[in-house]
Amino acid sequence: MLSLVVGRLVAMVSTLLVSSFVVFAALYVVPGDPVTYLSGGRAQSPEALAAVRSQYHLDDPLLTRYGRWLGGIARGDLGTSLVYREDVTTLIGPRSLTTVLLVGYASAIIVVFGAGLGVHAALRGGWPGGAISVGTTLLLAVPSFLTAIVLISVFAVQLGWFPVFGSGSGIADRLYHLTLPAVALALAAVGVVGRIARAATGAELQSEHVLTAHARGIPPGQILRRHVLRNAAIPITTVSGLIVASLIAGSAVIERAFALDGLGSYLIDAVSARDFPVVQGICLVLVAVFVCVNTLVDLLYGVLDPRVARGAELT
Amino acid sequence: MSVLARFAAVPPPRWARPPSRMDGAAWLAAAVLGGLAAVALLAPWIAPHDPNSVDLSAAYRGPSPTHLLGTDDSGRDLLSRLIVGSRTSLLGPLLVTVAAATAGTAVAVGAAWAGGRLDSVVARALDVALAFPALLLAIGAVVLFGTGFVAPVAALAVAYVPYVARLVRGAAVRERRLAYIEATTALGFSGFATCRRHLLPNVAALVLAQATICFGYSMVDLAAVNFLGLGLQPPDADWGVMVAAGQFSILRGHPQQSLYAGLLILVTVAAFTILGDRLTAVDRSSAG
Repeated sequence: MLSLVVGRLVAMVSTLLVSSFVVFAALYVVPGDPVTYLSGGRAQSPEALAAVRSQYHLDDPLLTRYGRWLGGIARGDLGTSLVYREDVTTLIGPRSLTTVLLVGYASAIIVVFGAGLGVHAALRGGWPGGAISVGTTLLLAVPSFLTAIVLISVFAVQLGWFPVFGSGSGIADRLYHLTLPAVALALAAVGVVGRIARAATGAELQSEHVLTAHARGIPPGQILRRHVLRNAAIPITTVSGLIVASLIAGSAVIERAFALDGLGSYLIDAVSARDFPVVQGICLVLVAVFVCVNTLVDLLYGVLDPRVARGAELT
Repeated sequence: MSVLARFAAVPPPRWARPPSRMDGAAWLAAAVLGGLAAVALLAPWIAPHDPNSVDLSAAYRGPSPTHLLGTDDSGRDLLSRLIVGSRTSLLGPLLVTVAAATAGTAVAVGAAWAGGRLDSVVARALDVALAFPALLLAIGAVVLFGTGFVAPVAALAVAYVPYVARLVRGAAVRERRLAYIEATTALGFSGFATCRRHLLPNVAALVLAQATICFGYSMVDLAAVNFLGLGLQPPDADWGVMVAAGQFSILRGHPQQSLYAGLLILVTVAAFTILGDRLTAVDRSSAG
């Protein structure tokens, strides 16, 4: 298990380094002088341009600047917004809470309904199983912004059960405001996880070790818990983890549709305003979370499937 | 009824069943896509009205013989806008898919053929590239190169390369070990000729299946970029742009514009998903 953990952490750190370099260096591979972007593209005096040059250390080699940038991040300094003239960390801190709540809420929906429906479909078979597998195939194709506008149109505008926009205040009110966005973000993923859960559970039910367990007279409930679901949990966890990680980037669309003040919608604002330090900061945070969630899923494998941990020790 | 008997009633999972071929749903999906492609090609000739002709006195009209699907907030004909919008909405994902499939296959076959260090470096690089969400890359490209049609399409093409390459590399590595490749090499054919004439045709079905699935995903991603206001800009008629532009009409109780455009995206993506699903199954059966 220890070598698995070490191997995965090394892979995670190297992925983080590569992707952070991409996030950092992207600004400098674009044709043209970065000074024009960083000074907002307005014509300025040579002195002002020189000041921008020295502020961003543009005369240093790229790797030196990257090292300085990384050092700043280690101290929690992501730079200064070109638009608001404030620390990027201060700007994105409060907004990340909305995104964390939204993604967490959506993940809970995905795991409970996706895995629940899939396992249910596999155990029941017959028309409920068939209906669920057709339904989940259709759900796969639904873009989240379409779900969002249908939910807004039906439940917020016509029925008035939920607020149309905004994040609310206080934890209960926030969750109430986030219900429609979380459903919109989760719906397609429920389809994916449901399909995987149904296939995985179905395959386990057919497997020989389950038949053997029945032959040995082990109570059905115990077979389901210890022999079927534990094995089926492996592919379900993988797919759920990958999907939760992809929700982090996908939340931008939902935050925009519901006018939530999360990281994603702030990223879009910063892109429109060409506020590079903010774009870099948010991209870095999103990619870092994405990579960390993926690593976490890999480690969960080791817990769920002892063979993985043992295999890592052998190599 | 014993638990076992209930379990036995479960149909085996798809991959355990005999290989499926093109069934009714797949033919329907292919027909829908063919129809949409025809509409996109003929758009300027079959659109009943000018998609951009504004008539504020005719805003939010219901369906009528002149406006079959009604009008939007500026009195523009919705049907015409949907028809003309099919062009960019389908062209974008097509470019992404063709570029990603071509580049991805080239990288994968090249790496698998070279083998050794180069192959493992490429494999690791593909894993790292997959760690970057496609939508985020498209957003990043917009901040660097500006909004419009080209930047998001180019960024998504790059982002989808690993999705094709990883799968094809696996197949190409398996294929390379087979006897017929050894035979062509022994006959003195160059590596390039062997790849092009023998290896490539054998992974082509897999590339096609994966490209079909990528088309659906890239369509959703591109529509999302347009929806976020980072791609094509209003008044361009594009399905993603129309979904976004119709948002404030929803609050006035006129969800038609957003709804119709969104449904067209949904139908197209669903058709590609179904078709890709069946093509993968056919490919598995022919691969034995």
